[in-house]
Order: sequence, then structure tokens, then C-alpha cells
Amino acid sequence: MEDYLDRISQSIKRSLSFPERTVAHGFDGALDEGSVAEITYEEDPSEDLALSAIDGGSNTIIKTPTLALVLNRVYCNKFDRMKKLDFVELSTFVSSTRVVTDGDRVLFETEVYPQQGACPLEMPKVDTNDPEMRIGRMRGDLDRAISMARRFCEWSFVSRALGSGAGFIVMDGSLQTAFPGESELANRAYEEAGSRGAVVAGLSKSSMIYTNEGYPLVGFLNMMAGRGGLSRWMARVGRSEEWAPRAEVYFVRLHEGADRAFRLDVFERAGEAEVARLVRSLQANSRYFAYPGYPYALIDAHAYARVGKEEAMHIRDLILDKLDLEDASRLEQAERALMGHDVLDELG
Amino acid sequence: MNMIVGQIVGGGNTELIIREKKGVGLELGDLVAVEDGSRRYLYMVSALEYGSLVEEDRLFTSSGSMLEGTKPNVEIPERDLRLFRKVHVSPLLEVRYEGKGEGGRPVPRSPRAIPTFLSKAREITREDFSFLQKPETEIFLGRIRSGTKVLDLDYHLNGEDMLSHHTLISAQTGRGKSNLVKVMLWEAMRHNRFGVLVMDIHNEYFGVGSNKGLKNHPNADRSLVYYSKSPPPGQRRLRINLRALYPSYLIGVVELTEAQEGALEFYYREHGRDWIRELMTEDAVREKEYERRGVQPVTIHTLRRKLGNLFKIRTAKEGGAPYCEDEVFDMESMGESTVKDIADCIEQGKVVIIDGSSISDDTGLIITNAVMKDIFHRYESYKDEGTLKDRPQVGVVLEEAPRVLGEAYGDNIFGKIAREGRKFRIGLIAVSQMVSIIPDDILANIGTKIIMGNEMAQERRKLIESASQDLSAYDQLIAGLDKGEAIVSSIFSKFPVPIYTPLFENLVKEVETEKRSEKAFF
Repeated sequence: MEDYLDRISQSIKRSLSFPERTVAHGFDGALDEGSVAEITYEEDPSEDLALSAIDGGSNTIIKTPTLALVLNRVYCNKFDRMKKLDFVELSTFVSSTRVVTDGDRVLFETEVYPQQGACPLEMPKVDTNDPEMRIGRMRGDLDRAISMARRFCEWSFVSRALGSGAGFIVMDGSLQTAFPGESELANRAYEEAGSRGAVVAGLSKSSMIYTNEGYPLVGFLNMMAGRGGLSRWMARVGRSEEWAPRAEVYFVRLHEGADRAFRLDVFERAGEAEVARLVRSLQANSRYFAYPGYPYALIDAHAYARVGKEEAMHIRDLILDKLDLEDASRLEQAERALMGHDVLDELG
Repeated sequence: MNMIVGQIVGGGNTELIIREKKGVGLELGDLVAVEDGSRRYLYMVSALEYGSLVEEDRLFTSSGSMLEGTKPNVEIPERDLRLFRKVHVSPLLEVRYEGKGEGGRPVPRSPRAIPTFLSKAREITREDFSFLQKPETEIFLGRIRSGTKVLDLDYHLNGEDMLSHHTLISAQTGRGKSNLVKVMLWEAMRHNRFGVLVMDIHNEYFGVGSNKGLKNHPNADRSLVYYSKSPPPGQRRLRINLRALYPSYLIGVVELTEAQEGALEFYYREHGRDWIRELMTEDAVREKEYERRGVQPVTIHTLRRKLGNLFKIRTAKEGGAPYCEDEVFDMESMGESTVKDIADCIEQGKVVIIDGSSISDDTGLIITNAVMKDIFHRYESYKDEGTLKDRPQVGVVLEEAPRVLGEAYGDNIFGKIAREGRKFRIGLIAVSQMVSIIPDDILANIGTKIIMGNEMAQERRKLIESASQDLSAYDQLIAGLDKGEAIVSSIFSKFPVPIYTPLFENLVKEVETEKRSEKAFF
């Protein structure tokens, strides 16, 4: 037994033996100790550091193998440093994604039913065989398709967030696009932001980016920062069509008390000075006592965008009330096709 | 628009939990209102606690980092939604609006429902108590308060109800008991139809010298009588002739053994109204004779000592007559009608204050006992005659009530009044800080309890158990009541009413100012 544990621990050790110099897989720039630069923050009350954060949340109402109803909420706010300003936009809607056929083609068709604060979306029919939906040799599955509506709404919220007058629009997560039609939506958002002199960025709580040698990138950067004795730092990782088309990717540690660094995607056209100002804006907004180093505007957006299970269940009850007994029974049967695991979990 | 103080996020019929709106700063005892369609609910803040959506471990870590300076440069934003205060509120009242017209007629009742989930709670206003009606013989007890904020709204109880069903004023020393009694007596005097006997052991109610007191009442000349060893002009000298006292006046209020009680009765049978004089007269031959008839000399000697101390009688040596050293008591011809005179005044609906500062507590109780026995006897007769309803409601203020209401003293007139007085229009105003030694059956007979600050847990428990409403959530609140603050729990009220009784002196000033401006007008 000890033998295999030894082998596992050796393997872990090897995975943490970071090189002195590397390149993030799929990116264009080389990285070493010199790539990690110290950042500082000195308060200048006259500097406009207002930012608007966008986040979305969702919870499933009904799900069968071919139909999913999801309650979605997207929210944006505006902060000046740690102060929340009087600007809020919110949209709550139900998205219905169905599997439909068109000859030989199998498509995902999504319809949107606004509940509060309309989010007018034109959801394209998506081919399950579309390369952006496929996973290996498999057609795209419903689980992925149901998050399309929320993601599209988040992009459309960039326009609303720009209405706040904030110079920086920070989305929860990366700027990576993953659905058919999403790039077009993102491009429209970038263009509108650019025309208003604003910068769009995405901040990810987690990152899967690795180096060419197969090491976790964030681990490598942390080690380099540690060597330089840096408590607040940023590192430009570079450009990657795969990880973030049209974005420059950075890693940032925004507070000396932070327990981790975050991936920051910044729209490609932002200049050096704009990026520096964005990072100052984020630093000024990342002083929340319980989670220093993470922007408070995103914590706020997360809280307001969250959709509780109870909330989704309430909508479910309202929908089931509209069905006759026979239809409701059929629906439940269809849902059971996906619930085998739940039953096993209940058995302990 | 009234200020929103929070929103209901949990709880049930026994208490609700409200998330407090940032910066409101509710305090224990504050009142809040919740509107719900045609109903309005009133609640009182009974507990406060912290709430946080941040996990406890993270909170400990973060606060530790801030305290120890390992994570400086962090903030808790003013509008942080994750940190808040949870306010527990206890139900006071449900007000339904019945009928048409502007809002309908408010009808209060004990809460039988709960407001809609997530309803907003707002601060209370005087309009929330629009259902309160001024009773015909109102006795002002104070102003309704919300926590420490006093509303511009007077709270009254019906004097007839309050007095006939007895009132208990309970508080620790220094919380405003005497002030409240003064205010109540002042109010009683406005009506000229409440006869109240007050044995004023600290001589603080009348208003001696330049002090403000009941003498300053506009009706004082016809509604107030003051007995004192040294009365001011126009008032009465306190002089009690011991011949007017019966042994029964002592029994139940003075600590006596069975043998001593028997000896008192014996002397009364032998000597009639001169029984005290004869008991105090040393006569060895007679004592021998009485010993033969069952009264031990030691009993006589002990009684002689006790009565001597009570009435300040000096024992005459053999052959000489005993005499009262004090001017208050007399064994000759003075003061024979005092007890009857006092009873007459009370029966005429006057407040009678006896300055008890120059006599012992026991002596004061004997006099009170004597007067109330007389009154009780008269009112029993009126009931038999069918004229009781034409007589004024009477009462007696009993300071340190447990002394005479406690089980140790057995049955006396005060216990009798507590148990049966209501039928005869005789009531008690019992004042005490030691409620726990008053028997349960007597407490149960007290219709109105005015609970002031009390830090003794045992006393609070007793008060809460015996209150007319469920006060189980009020324990800490009662402990923290400030001077003048009280909770009125009465069978004549639909809810426990938090009040603040203003300083008596201010009340007098208000009346005097009103009087002056009336004169100026005419």
C-alpha cells in the first residue's frame, strides 16, 4: 500500500517542480520571474475608477432528456472603489431549451420568457453537431445548451452596464466564447464599449491554463512572485485564440491579504495605460474584509444574480399547476430518466 | 412615510425574525408595526443578534487578520448585504380595520395570524394606537414608549377597573415606584370618586414644605386629607386613641404567637376598650389570677414589651398609670374617632395620606389595618343593603406588600381584600420589589401589574408567570428597564403596554402652567 502512495506523492512532486522559464500553452508570450510585476495602489480621489460588474445565476426548473426550463437572472451594478453607487440593472427570465429535429439535423431551440426587467434575446437554433457544441465525437448535450441563454444575456448586459457611465465593465468569468453565435454578440459588446471609451474585462475565480510542460500556470506565477517578495502583482500571459479570442490574458493578485491570484481577461484593444487603470480600479474595489483580493462588485453581483432552488421550485409549481394530471405525470416520468443518481444518493 | 426598519424573514406566531435595515439601530423594547392588507400587527423587539451570510470560519479568520494586522487595508462596506442584524420581535397586537370609511374602524385583538412573509416592518407612530379609547374614569399611567423613545401618546386605564381588580407595582429600589404611585394618586384625585388610603412611610406624597406633592393638585382642598404628627395649617393632626383599637387590628400584621393572640383577646374580653391600658399596667396579683385562667405571665410580659414598642407606651410602675410617650397615640380622650374619620374621608372619595415617617412600619400597618377593616365592614353592609354601587371605589396603597400578603402572616384584611375586595369595590395598590413571596392565589387576583425595572431573575420569573399576557420574551427587557419605564400587563389591556411615567414634578408643572394661562385668558 505504501508503495502506491509513494508513487502518487512522487508524481505530485513532479507536477509542482516548476521550470524557471515557460510559455502558457496556447499563448504567445514567454514567462519568467521578470514577467511578474509588482503593482501598487495609491489613492488619488480625483481618479475615475468606477467599474460595473456583471454576473448571472440560474437554477433548473424542469429537465428531461430533451427539454430544459431554467430560471435565469443577470445583474449589473456600479461601484466607485468600495462604494456602491445608485445604478442597478437586473433581468430575470425563464429559458426553455428543447431538442428539435429538422430532417437529419438535431437542433437546440431556445425560447426566452421574461419575468422581470426584459432581456430581449434572439436565440439562434444551434446544431448539436456544431463544432462549438461537440464534445469529442459526441453531439453537444443539453446541459451545455441550457446555459447559452444566460451567457448571451450577460453579453447583452454590457450595453446596459455602459449606461452607468463606468469606464470598466467587469464580467464574471473569462471572455472566452464557447457557443455558436456568441462571438458575434461579444464583438458587438466590445465595439459598443470601445465607442464609449470603456474597457471590457472578465475576471475568473478559477483557471485551467497550464504551461507547455503541463504545469498549472497560476502555480508557476505564484512561485515567481514569491521569489520576488511581491504581495500585489500582475503578469501578462499573452494572447490565445483558444483560451480567449480578442483578449489579452493576465493574472493578478489584487491585495496583499489575498489567498490567490485571479485570471483577468482584458479586451485586446485596451492600451497599457488603460490596463493599468483597470488594475487600479480592481485593487480599489478588492478590499472586502472577508475576501480581500476579489472585487467586491463581483461579490455583490453574484449575490443579486443568484437564483435559489426554492425560487425555481416555485416557478415549477406554477407551471405544473397549469398542466393536467396526465401531462404532469408524463413529465415526471420523463424527468426520472435523469434522476437515477439522485435515487442512489438518497439510498446512502 | 414612516421609516422602514426591516423585513420579515422568518419566525412564526410566537416570534418573528426581522432582518434590520442598515443603520436603523433597533433596541430591545422598540415597537414596530407591520401592515398587511386590512390588518396591522404590532410587535416588540425582544432579542437582537448578529446575522451573516459569510461562513463562521471565514469570519473568524478575517476578523483575526484585521485585528492582528496581517490583512490591513480591508473594508466592510456600508451597504454590505452579508452582514446584518437579526431582530426577534414578539407579537403584541393585531388590529383589524372593520367597516367602510377612512381606513375603517380599528379593532384590536390578540394576534391570531402572522403577516405575509417578507412584509416590511416600520417604526411605530401614535396613529398605530388609534384604537385606544380614553375611559370614563381614566387614570393616566404614562406615555406609550417604543424602547427608549417616548411617543406623544398618553396611556390610561379605567380607574374603577384598575382599583377594583387590584394593581401591583413591582420594581427594584430607585426605578420610580413612588413617582408612579404619586402620579396615580394625582390622577385619582381628578375624579373625586376614588377613596384611597396611603400610609406614607417616607412622607413623600403630600409635598411637605416647598416640595411638590399631591397638595398641589387643583382639587386638593376637596379630594385630599393629610394626617401627620406635625400637620401644616389646614391639615389634620395624627392622633390615634388606643381605645379605638381592637386586638384584631394587630393580628395578622404584627408577629404574634398563638398564645399572644389569645392573650390579647383575653384582655379585650376582660377590659373592653381599655384592654391596652390594662395590659400595660403591671399588677402582680392580677397576673397571678390570669395565670390561673391560662394566660402565662411571660406572655403578658412579652406583649407588654411589644405593645410598648409599637405605641411608645411606658409601663407604669405598680400603682401608676401607663402613658403614651409619643404624641401620635393617646390613651385618654384624644383621637378616639380618628380611625372612623379616616374611613369617612375615604368613603367620600378622598385620598387620605397618613404621614408614617414618625411611626414604626408595624404601627402604620396597624392603623391601615384598622381603617380598612372599618371600610370593609361598612362596604359589606352596603352590599347587603344594595347601595354599594352608589359608593366610591376605594383602595389602599400597600407599600412593601409581601410583608402582609405573604403566607407567613396568615389571613388579614389585606389578604381578604386581595381575594374578595373586588365584590365590595375595595382594591389594593400593592407596591413591592419582592413579588416572589406573595402567594400565587393573591397574585392571580391582581388584574393589573405594572412592571418596572428589576434585575433579580427570580422576581422577574414570578412576574412573567403571573402576568396577564405572555411575557416570556420580556425577561431581559424587564431587567433593563430604566427609571420611569414600565410594562403594564393588565386584564383590561389587549397587550402588554410599554410606558414611560413622567416625573411627578413635571406633571404638576404642566398643570400649574395650564392654570396660569387659563387665568391670563380670562
